[in-house]
Amino acid sequence: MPSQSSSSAAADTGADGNPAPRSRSQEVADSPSLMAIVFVATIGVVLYTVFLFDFSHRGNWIPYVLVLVAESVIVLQAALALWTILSCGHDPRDYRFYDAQRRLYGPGGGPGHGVAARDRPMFLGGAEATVDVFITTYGESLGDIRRTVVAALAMEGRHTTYVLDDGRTAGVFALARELGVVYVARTGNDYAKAGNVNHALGLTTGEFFVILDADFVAKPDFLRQTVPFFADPTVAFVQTPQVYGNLNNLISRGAGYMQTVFYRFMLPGKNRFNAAFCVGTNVVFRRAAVTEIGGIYQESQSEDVWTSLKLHERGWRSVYIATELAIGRTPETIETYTKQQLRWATGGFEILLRSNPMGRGRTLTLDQRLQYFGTSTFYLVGVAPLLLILVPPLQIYFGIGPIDADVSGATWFFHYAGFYFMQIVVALYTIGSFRWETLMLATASFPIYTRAFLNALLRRRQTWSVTHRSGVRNSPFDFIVPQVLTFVFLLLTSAVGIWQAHADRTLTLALVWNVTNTVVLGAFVVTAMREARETRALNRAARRQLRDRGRGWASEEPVPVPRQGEADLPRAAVHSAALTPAEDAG
Amino acid sequence: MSWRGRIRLGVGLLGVVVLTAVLTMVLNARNGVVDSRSAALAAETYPVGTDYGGTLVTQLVHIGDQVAVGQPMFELRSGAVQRDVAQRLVDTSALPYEMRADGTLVLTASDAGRVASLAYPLGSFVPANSTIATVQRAGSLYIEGEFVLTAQDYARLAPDATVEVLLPSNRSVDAKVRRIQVQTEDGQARTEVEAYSDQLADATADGLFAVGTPVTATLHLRNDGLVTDATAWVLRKVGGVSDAAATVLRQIGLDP
Repeated sequence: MPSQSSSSAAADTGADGNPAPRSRSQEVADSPSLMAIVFVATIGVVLYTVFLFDFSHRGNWIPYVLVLVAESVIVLQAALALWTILSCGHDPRDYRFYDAQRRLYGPGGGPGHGVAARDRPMFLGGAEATVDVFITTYGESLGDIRRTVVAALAMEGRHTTYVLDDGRTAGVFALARELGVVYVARTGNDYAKAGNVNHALGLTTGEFFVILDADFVAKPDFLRQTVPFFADPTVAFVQTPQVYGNLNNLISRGAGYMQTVFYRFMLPGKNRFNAAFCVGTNVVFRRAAVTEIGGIYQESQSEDVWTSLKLHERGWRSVYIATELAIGRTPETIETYTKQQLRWATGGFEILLRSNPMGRGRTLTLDQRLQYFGTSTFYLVGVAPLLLILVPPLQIYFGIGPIDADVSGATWFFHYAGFYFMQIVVALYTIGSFRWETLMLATASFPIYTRAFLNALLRRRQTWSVTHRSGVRNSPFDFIVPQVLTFVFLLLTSAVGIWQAHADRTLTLALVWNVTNTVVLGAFVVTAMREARETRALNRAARRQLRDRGRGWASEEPVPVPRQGEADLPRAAVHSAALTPAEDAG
Repeated sequence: MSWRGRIRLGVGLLGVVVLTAVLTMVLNARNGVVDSRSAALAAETYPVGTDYGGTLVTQLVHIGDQVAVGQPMFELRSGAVQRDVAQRLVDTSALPYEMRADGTLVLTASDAGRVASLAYPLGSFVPANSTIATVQRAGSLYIEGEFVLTAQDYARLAPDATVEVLLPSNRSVDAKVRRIQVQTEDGQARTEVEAYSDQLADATADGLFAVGTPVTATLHLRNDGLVTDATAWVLRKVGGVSDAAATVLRQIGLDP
């Protein structure tokens, strides 16, 4: 069977296994032209590296070192990415997978036998495979949770669905009872999502468990596409991509496309190295594997990557398939984007600093070491703009440049463009488009990654000065003070540079760069201003609604945690003490 | 925005504005100066020579020796001068040299200084009207610097501009421009500047720095404008504040 469509987010469920049209990304992944383009891009990488490290081109030490460090990180990551992309044509589905998929519903489990698709038992190697589906919630809107739960229930193959509600709200409880899924709450919310899942693992017994974030709507064939991989007893988890259905504003488009390359080309490539890692949602785990490492890793906010690392260290295999099986939401506001990126980047840096994959204590293969090293250093690319942004002001104010004045502009441009132009060509060819939003967001995000690095280094937990009030959104400017200050600095520097250029009657490259950086950060600040205006309007509306409804927000009230032996324990509610199957609660 | 966020933003903006202002002042100060492409110490020299040909019979000084006014440097035995004196063609008292009874001419230093070069070895015949040695006049050191100026820079070069000289001993000396020679190449003025300073004699009194010693010279151009005025105002204010602080410290018994 050919691979399923992975780019059309339409209703192509592929439930009956009909060959879906080959998607663009699969075509690109298999294309020999990709090899040629990657090859030429690699030559660009090499030429640029040689040019950078040629000390005879060196200007002043300070800007030179800044540029060298920043560009080295970028070049290293570009080389690793190109190398990984070369492997992305590999399809993890082998004969064993197809064979297991064919026998999944057993001899009598095919369609048209009077059993609802969602109740058909699944078999692996002759025994029934029991599957738990965990939907982790923490204050998401009831509408989102409802869509996710309904879709999870409708997945083909017999499974038990649990809502793990760390938000502990009455609304979610009522929703769980209404839809007939098991509601699980716990006291406190230690270790966030990892703690939440581990708590549920203590209450359940399924051989496999699926983790879905509260806003990821699974497709009906989710289990049919993933569970057969477990016919191989060494597979610990099967990860599917995060796809976003809300690419409707600048932030979500920028953030979403940033991950397109990752999910379409990097993760499939990592598969080849047996180094594909879990991304927290849309994933199926083998309980035995997770139990072996003592549950989902709790000591980091990036429990997903850490858990994968621990599993790989124990010799387990991982599978990533590029088939879209759940559609979710990517951050739409600067606040959520900042928090998400900070969490991911901190997790990456934590691996680098606390569990260096290159270290001698690790029991990883060389392939895995290289891939995890690439992953853990990936967000350093996000710090690089900070260093590069400083270089033009140094030239403007102090007249010191990174490259010797004797090196002609053409020589520099040839090497620089040879590298960056080819990177853009690779992006254009693989994704099919080049998004300026992505570039803008990547440049403007350096304070997030810098902070993540410091937090990981100092083992500090990020606290925000704003409070989270339900129904009221925070101003984006609470999260981007460094960006605003940098923008103002660059703007003033550009003005000074123009004044200077006017006096000297010469236009310098430094000024051109500085103006470009100013425009890029300016675009980000304008985006934030638009969002702030929206936020104010939304908050006004929310306040009005609150006034009209008197007390309001009944659904947001916390569920009282029941004491042991309390008489009127809600039947569908599960706490550590009492587990009641939802089916009975009806 | 939360109030904490607003305060952070406000303080940050103030910091950025102050930082940019200081950096602009630094830039403006840099605009007012041009570094030399090359600069070296130079000195005035005078020749020690003779109008009469003769044999160099005594050499009393060597290259590098310090000489005082009137100090004998060479003795020259000259038949020509003896003949002229004998024929009373010249008056011995009118000769610029001391003449011994045996007709030997004693050539002396006319000014304090240091012997820079010798043209004839001892015993050789010195033709008439030739220079035997050159002496660098003491205290006559000056700076010879070459600067590359743009047309805009050249327009701002004042006739009595200041040149800041950094000697190899890291001592800094201010000199005044006295002579400017300029040649234009590719639209840039290659300017040779001679600058003099009284301090230079003191700074080189130990005789450590000879002519040709490389130095770093910085030419100060006319730099008028708002930023210069603002810088001066800020420096005055800062000076005033630090004076006031010093006064307060003295009053409470601490002497900074």
